[in-house]
Amino acid sequence: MEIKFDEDKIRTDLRIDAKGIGIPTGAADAFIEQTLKATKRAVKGKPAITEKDLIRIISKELEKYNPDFAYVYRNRGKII
Amino acid sequence: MQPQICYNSSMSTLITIGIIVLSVLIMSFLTLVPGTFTLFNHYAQGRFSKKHASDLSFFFILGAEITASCVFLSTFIIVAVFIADTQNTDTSILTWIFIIIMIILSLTSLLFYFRPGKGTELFISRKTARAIDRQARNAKNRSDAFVLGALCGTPELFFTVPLFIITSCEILQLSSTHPMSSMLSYIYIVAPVIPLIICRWQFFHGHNLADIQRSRVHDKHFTRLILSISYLIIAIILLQFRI
Repeated sequence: MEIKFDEDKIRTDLRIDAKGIGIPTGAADAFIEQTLKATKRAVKGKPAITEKDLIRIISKELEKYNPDFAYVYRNRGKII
Repeated sequence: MQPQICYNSSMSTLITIGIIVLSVLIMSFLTLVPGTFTLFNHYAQGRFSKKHASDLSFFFILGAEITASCVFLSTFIIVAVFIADTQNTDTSILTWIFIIIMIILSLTSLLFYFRPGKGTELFISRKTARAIDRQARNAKNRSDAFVLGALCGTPELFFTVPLFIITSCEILQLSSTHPMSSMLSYIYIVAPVIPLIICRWQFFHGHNLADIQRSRVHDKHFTRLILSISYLIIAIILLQFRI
Protein backbone atom coordinates (compact mmCIF):
# COMPACT_ATOMS: atom_id res chain seq x y z
CA MET A 1 0.00 0.00 0.00
CA GLU A 2 1.55 3.31 -1.12
CA ILE A 3 1.57 6.09 1.45
CA LYS A 4 2.73 9.69 1.84
CA PHE A 5 5.72 10.38 4.08
CA ASP A 6 4.03 12.39 6.83
CA GLU A 7 6.84 13.52 9.11
CA ASP A 8 4.62 15.02 11.83
CA LYS A 9 2.45 11.92 12.12
CA ILE A 10 5.48 9.65 12.32
CA ARG A 11 7.06 11.92 14.94
CA THR A 12 3.88 11.82 17.08
CA ASP A 13 3.62 8.02 16.78
CA LEU A 14 7.28 7.57 17.66
CA ARG A 15 6.96 9.87 20.69
CA ILE A 16 4.02 7.78 21.99
CA ASP A 17 5.95 4.55 21.44
CA ALA A 18 9.09 5.95 23.11
CA LYS A 19 7.20 7.12 26.20
CA GLY A 20 5.27 3.81 26.32
CA ILE A 21 8.54 1.89 26.31
CA GLY A 22 9.97 4.12 29.01
CA ILE A 23 12.69 6.01 27.10
CA PRO A 24 13.38 9.41 28.75
CA THR A 25 11.90 12.31 26.74
CA GLY A 26 15.22 14.03 25.91
CA ALA A 27 16.85 10.86 24.61
CA ALA A 28 13.68 9.88 22.75
CA ASP A 29 13.53 13.23 20.94
CA ALA A 30 17.17 12.92 19.90
CA PHE A 31 16.61 9.36 18.58
CA ILE A 32 13.46 10.41 16.74
CA GLU A 33 15.06 13.42 15.04
CA GLN A 34 18.09 11.38 13.93
CA THR A 35 15.79 8.65 12.63
CA LEU A 36 13.57 11.08 10.75
CA LYS A 37 16.61 12.75 9.17
CA ALA A 38 17.94 9.39 7.97
CA THR A 39 14.48 8.31 6.77
CA LYS A 40 14.05 11.53 4.78
CA ARG A 41 17.40 10.87 3.11
CA ALA A 42 16.35 7.30 2.29
CA VAL A 43 12.99 8.22 0.75
CA LYS A 44 14.29 11.31 -1.09
CA GLY A 45 13.82 11.04 -4.83
CA LYS A 46 11.55 8.00 -4.60
CA PRO A 47 8.27 8.67 -6.40
CA ALA A 48 6.30 6.37 -4.08
CA ILE A 49 6.89 4.41 -0.90
CA THR A 50 4.94 1.59 0.68
CA GLU A 51 4.02 1.45 4.36
CA LYS A 52 6.07 -1.74 4.71
CA ASP A 53 9.19 -0.06 3.30
CA LEU A 54 8.75 2.96 5.55
CA ILE A 55 8.39 0.77 8.66
CA ARG A 56 11.48 -1.20 7.60
CA ILE A 57 13.59 1.96 7.08
CA ILE A 58 12.48 3.57 10.36
CA SER A 59 12.90 0.43 12.46
CA LYS A 60 16.35 -0.16 10.96
CA GLU A 61 17.37 3.35 12.04
CA LEU A 62 15.82 2.95 15.50
CA GLU A 63 17.72 -0.31 15.97
CA LYS A 64 20.92 1.78 16.26
CA TYR A 65 19.56 3.60 19.32
CA ASN A 66 17.19 1.24 21.14
CA PRO A 67 16.30 -2.36 20.14
CA ASP A 68 12.97 -2.30 22.05
CA PHE A 69 11.94 0.90 20.27
CA ALA A 70 12.81 -0.66 16.89
CA TYR A 71 11.00 -3.90 17.76
CA VAL A 72 7.78 -2.09 18.72
CA TYR A 73 7.84 -0.01 15.54
CA ARG A 74 8.60 -3.05 13.38
CA ASN A 75 5.63 -4.92 14.89
CA ARG A 76 3.06 -2.21 14.19
CA GLY A 77 -0.17 -3.90 13.15
CA LYS A 78 1.22 -7.36 13.82
CA ILE A 79 0.26 -7.68 17.48
CA ILE A 80 -3.42 -8.67 17.10
CA MET B 1 -26.31 -50.31 45.07
CA GLN B 2 -25.56 -47.30 47.20
CA PRO B 3 -21.73 -47.37 46.86
CA GLN B 4 -22.08 -47.70 43.06
CA ILE B 5 -24.33 -44.63 42.94
CA CYS B 6 -21.84 -42.63 45.07
CA TYR B 7 -18.99 -43.71 42.80
CA ASN B 8 -20.90 -42.60 39.67
CA SER B 9 -21.83 -39.32 41.23
CA SER B 10 -18.28 -38.50 42.33
CA MET B 11 -16.93 -39.63 38.94
CA SER B 12 -19.41 -37.32 37.20
CA THR B 13 -18.35 -34.45 39.48
CA LEU B 14 -14.71 -35.09 38.61
CA ILE B 15 -15.53 -35.07 34.89
CA THR B 16 -17.41 -31.78 35.31
CA ILE B 17 -14.43 -30.28 37.15
CA GLY B 18 -12.09 -31.59 34.44
CA ILE B 19 -14.14 -29.99 31.66
CA ILE B 20 -14.30 -26.69 33.54
CA VAL B 21 -10.55 -26.69 34.25
CA LEU B 22 -9.88 -27.28 30.53
CA SER B 23 -12.31 -24.50 29.60
CA VAL B 24 -10.58 -22.11 32.01
CA LEU B 25 -7.25 -23.11 30.47
CA ILE B 26 -8.56 -22.34 26.98
CA MET B 27 -10.00 -19.00 28.14
CA SER B 28 -6.66 -17.98 29.61
CA PHE B 29 -4.76 -18.95 26.44
CA LEU B 30 -6.99 -16.98 24.03
CA THR B 31 -4.96 -13.92 23.13
CA LEU B 32 -7.20 -11.36 21.46
CA VAL B 33 -8.25 -9.52 24.65
CA PRO B 34 -4.79 -9.71 26.32
CA GLY B 35 -3.19 -8.59 23.02
CA THR B 36 -5.54 -5.62 22.76
CA PHE B 37 -4.94 -4.82 26.44
CA THR B 38 -1.16 -4.85 25.88
CA LEU B 39 -1.52 -2.43 22.96
CA PHE B 40 -3.98 -0.26 24.87
CA ASN B 41 -1.72 -0.08 27.92
CA HIS B 42 1.28 0.80 25.76
CA TYR B 43 -0.54 3.65 24.05
CA ALA B 44 -2.03 4.86 27.36
CA GLN B 45 1.41 4.96 28.98
CA GLY B 46 2.74 6.75 25.90
CA ARG B 47 0.06 9.42 25.91
CA PHE B 48 -0.86 10.00 29.53
CA SER B 49 0.58 10.12 33.03
CA LYS B 50 1.21 6.84 34.84
CA LYS B 51 -1.76 7.44 37.15
CA HIS B 52 -4.19 8.09 34.29
CA ALA B 53 -2.87 5.09 32.34
CA SER B 54 -3.37 2.89 35.41
CA ASP B 55 -6.90 4.22 35.82
CA LEU B 56 -7.72 3.52 32.15
CA SER B 57 -6.31 0.00 32.30
CA PHE B 58 -8.51 -0.73 35.34
CA PHE B 59 -11.60 0.33 33.38
CA PHE B 60 -10.52 -1.81 30.41
CA ILE B 61 -10.33 -4.85 32.72
CA LEU B 62 -13.69 -3.95 34.26
CA GLY B 63 -15.27 -3.81 30.78
CA ALA B 64 -13.77 -7.17 29.81
CA GLU B 65 -14.92 -8.77 33.07
CA ILE B 66 -18.47 -7.44 32.87
CA THR B 67 -18.86 -8.63 29.27
CA ALA B 68 -17.43 -12.07 30.06
CA SER B 69 -19.77 -12.40 33.06
CA CYS B 70 -22.82 -11.21 31.13
CA VAL B 71 -22.17 -13.54 28.18
CA PHE B 72 -21.56 -16.51 30.48
CA LEU B 73 -24.60 -15.82 32.68
CA SER B 74 -26.84 -15.26 29.63
CA THR B 75 -25.64 -18.54 28.16
CA PHE B 76 -26.18 -20.25 31.51
CA ILE B 77 -29.78 -19.00 31.74
CA ILE B 78 -30.54 -19.92 28.12
CA VAL B 79 -29.09 -23.40 28.65
CA ALA B 80 -31.03 -23.78 31.90
CA VAL B 81 -34.28 -22.84 30.20
CA PHE B 82 -33.97 -24.58 26.82
CA ILE B 83 -31.58 -27.49 27.21
CA ALA B 84 -31.87 -28.65 30.84
CA ASP B 85 -35.63 -28.68 30.28
CA THR B 86 -35.26 -31.56 27.82
CA GLN B 87 -34.06 -34.04 30.43
CA ASN B 88 -36.48 -36.70 29.32
CA THR B 89 -35.49 -36.61 25.69
CA ASP B 90 -32.37 -38.17 24.24
CA THR B 91 -29.56 -35.65 24.64
CA SER B 92 -26.94 -37.72 22.81
CA ILE B 93 -27.57 -35.83 19.54
CA LEU B 94 -26.80 -32.59 21.33
CA THR B 95 -23.64 -34.11 22.82
CA TRP B 96 -22.58 -35.29 19.35
CA ILE B 97 -23.05 -31.73 18.05
CA PHE B 98 -20.80 -30.39 20.83
CA ILE B 99 -18.19 -33.08 20.12
CA ILE B 100 -18.11 -32.08 16.45
CA ILE B 101 -17.87 -28.38 17.39
CA MET B 102 -14.98 -29.12 19.78
CA ILE B 103 -13.13 -31.05 17.05
CA ILE B 104 -13.70 -28.19 14.58
CA LEU B 105 -12.41 -25.68 17.15
CA SER B 106 -9.42 -27.92 17.87
CA LEU B 107 -8.46 -27.93 14.19
CA THR B 108 -9.29 -24.24 13.74
CA SER B 109 -7.14 -23.18 16.70
CA LEU B 110 -4.26 -25.31 15.45
CA LEU B 111 -4.40 -24.18 11.82
CA PHE B 112 -6.00 -20.74 11.72
CA TYR B 113 -5.85 -19.06 15.15
CA PHE B 114 -2.60 -17.29 14.29
CA ARG B 115 -1.93 -16.04 10.78
CA PRO B 116 1.27 -17.26 9.12
CA GLY B 117 4.21 -14.90 9.63
CA LYS B 118 6.58 -13.72 12.32
CA GLY B 119 4.15 -11.69 14.43
CA THR B 120 1.13 -12.74 16.45
CA GLU B 121 -1.51 -11.65 13.95
CA LEU B 122 -4.77 -13.41 14.77
CA PHE B 123 -7.49 -14.95 12.63
CA ILE B 124 -9.65 -11.79 12.79
CA SER B 125 -9.99 -9.72 9.60
CA ARG B 126 -7.29 -7.09 9.12
CA LYS B 127 -10.00 -4.42 8.94
CA THR B 128 -11.24 -5.41 12.43
CA ALA B 129 -7.66 -5.58 13.76
CA ARG B 130 -6.96 -2.06 12.43
CA ALA B 131 -10.22 -0.77 13.98
CA ILE B 132 -9.30 -2.26 17.38
CA ASP B 133 -5.77 -0.83 17.10
CA ARG B 134 -7.16 2.62 16.21
CA GLN B 135 -9.59 2.49 19.13
CA ALA B 136 -6.80 1.42 21.52
CA ARG B 137 -4.62 4.28 20.24
CA ASN B 138 -7.33 6.93 20.54
CA ALA B 139 -9.00 5.91 23.84
CA LYS B 140 -8.59 8.79 26.24
CA ASN B 141 -11.14 8.45 29.03
CA ARG B 142 -12.68 5.79 31.26
CA SER B 143 -15.71 5.19 29.06
CA ASP B 144 -13.51 4.63 25.96
CA ALA B 145 -11.39 2.15 27.94
CA PHE B 146 -14.48 0.38 29.31
CA VAL B 147 -16.11 0.08 25.87
CA LEU B 148 -12.90 -1.21 24.29
CA GLY B 149 -12.48 -3.79 27.05
CA ALA B 150 -16.11 -4.82 26.75
CA LEU B 151 -16.19 -5.19 22.96
CA CYS B 152 -12.73 -6.25 21.82
CA GLY B 153 -13.38 -9.90 22.70
CA THR B 154 -16.45 -10.09 20.41
CA PRO B 155 -14.59 -11.60 17.39
CA GLU B 156 -13.40 -14.41 19.67
CA LEU B 157 -16.92 -15.44 20.78
CA PHE B 158 -16.73 -18.15 18.12
CA PHE B 159 -14.15 -19.85 20.38
CA THR B 160 -15.76 -19.10 23.74
CA VAL B 161 -19.54 -19.47 23.40
CA PRO B 162 -19.46 -23.27 22.74
CA LEU B 163 -17.34 -23.58 25.91
CA PHE B 164 -19.87 -21.47 27.83
CA ILE B 165 -22.67 -23.78 26.68
CA ILE B 166 -20.82 -26.97 27.61
CA THR B 167 -19.73 -25.53 30.97
CA SER B 168 -23.29 -24.39 31.71
CA CYS B 169 -24.60 -27.89 30.95
CA GLU B 170 -21.94 -29.40 33.24
CA ILE B 171 -22.61 -26.98 36.10
CA LEU B 172 -26.36 -27.58 35.74
CA GLN B 173 -25.76 -31.32 36.03
CA LEU B 174 -24.37 -30.77 39.52
CA SER B 175 -27.09 -30.25 42.05
CA SER B 176 -27.69 -26.57 42.84
CA THR B 177 -26.96 -27.38 46.48
CA HIS B 178 -23.63 -29.01 45.58
CA PRO B 179 -20.88 -26.89 47.15
CA MET B 180 -18.84 -26.99 43.92
CA SER B 181 -21.67 -25.64 41.77
CA SER B 182 -21.46 -21.94 42.62
CA MET B 183 -17.70 -22.03 43.17
CA LEU B 184 -17.12 -23.36 39.63
CA SER B 185 -19.35 -20.62 38.22
CA TYR B 186 -17.35 -17.94 40.09
CA ILE B 187 -14.04 -19.39 38.88
CA TYR B 188 -15.35 -19.46 35.34
CA ILE B 189 -16.49 -15.83 35.52
CA VAL B 190 -13.17 -14.57 36.92
CA ALA B 191 -10.92 -16.68 34.62
CA PRO B 192 -11.03 -14.48 31.46
CA VAL B 193 -9.52 -11.47 33.22
CA ILE B 194 -6.64 -13.29 34.94
CA PRO B 195 -4.32 -12.82 31.89
CA LEU B 196 -5.21 -9.10 31.89
CA ILE B 197 -4.36 -8.74 35.58
CA ILE B 198 -1.01 -10.51 34.99
CA CYS B 199 -0.33 -8.25 32.01
CA ARG B 200 -1.16 -5.12 34.05
CA TRP B 201 1.13 -6.34 36.81
CA GLN B 202 3.93 -6.84 34.25
CA PHE B 203 3.49 -3.32 32.86
CA PHE B 204 3.56 -1.70 36.25
CA HIS B 205 6.70 -3.61 37.20
CA GLY B 206 8.78 -2.22 34.37
CA HIS B 207 8.03 -4.54 31.46
CA ASN B 208 7.18 -2.86 28.17
CA LEU B 209 5.30 -3.81 24.98
CA ALA B 210 8.51 -5.14 23.38
CA ASP B 211 9.17 -7.57 26.27
CA ILE B 212 5.59 -8.82 26.35
CA GLN B 213 5.33 -9.12 22.56
CA ARG B 214 8.63 -11.05 22.37
CA SER B 215 7.30 -13.59 24.85
CA ARG B 216 4.00 -13.82 22.96
CA VAL B 217 5.86 -14.52 19.72
CA HIS B 218 8.05 -17.06 21.52
CA ASP B 219 4.98 -18.85 22.98
CA LYS B 220 2.87 -18.67 19.81
CA HIS B 221 3.17 -22.34 18.82
CA PHE B 222 2.77 -23.48 22.41
CA THR B 223 -0.43 -21.42 22.72
CA ARG B 224 -1.79 -22.91 19.51
CA LEU B 225 -0.96 -26.42 20.70
CA ILE B 226 -2.50 -25.99 24.16
CA LEU B 227 -5.71 -24.59 22.64
CA SER B 228 -5.98 -27.42 20.15
CA ILE B 229 -5.22 -30.19 22.66
CA SER B 230 -7.64 -28.76 25.25
CA TYR B 231 -10.52 -28.63 22.77
CA LEU B 232 -9.68 -32.16 21.67
CA ILE B 233 -9.59 -33.50 25.25
CA ILE B 234 -13.00 -31.93 25.94
CA ALA B 235 -14.32 -33.70 22.82
CA ILE B 236 -12.85 -37.02 24.01
CA ILE B 237 -14.27 -36.59 27.53
CA LEU B 238 -17.72 -35.84 26.09
CA LEU B 239 -17.46 -38.85 23.79
CA GLN B 240 -16.30 -41.18 26.55
CA PHE B 241 -18.46 -40.10 29.47
CA ARG B 242 -21.46 -38.12 28.23
CA ILE B 243 -22.97 -40.34 25.52
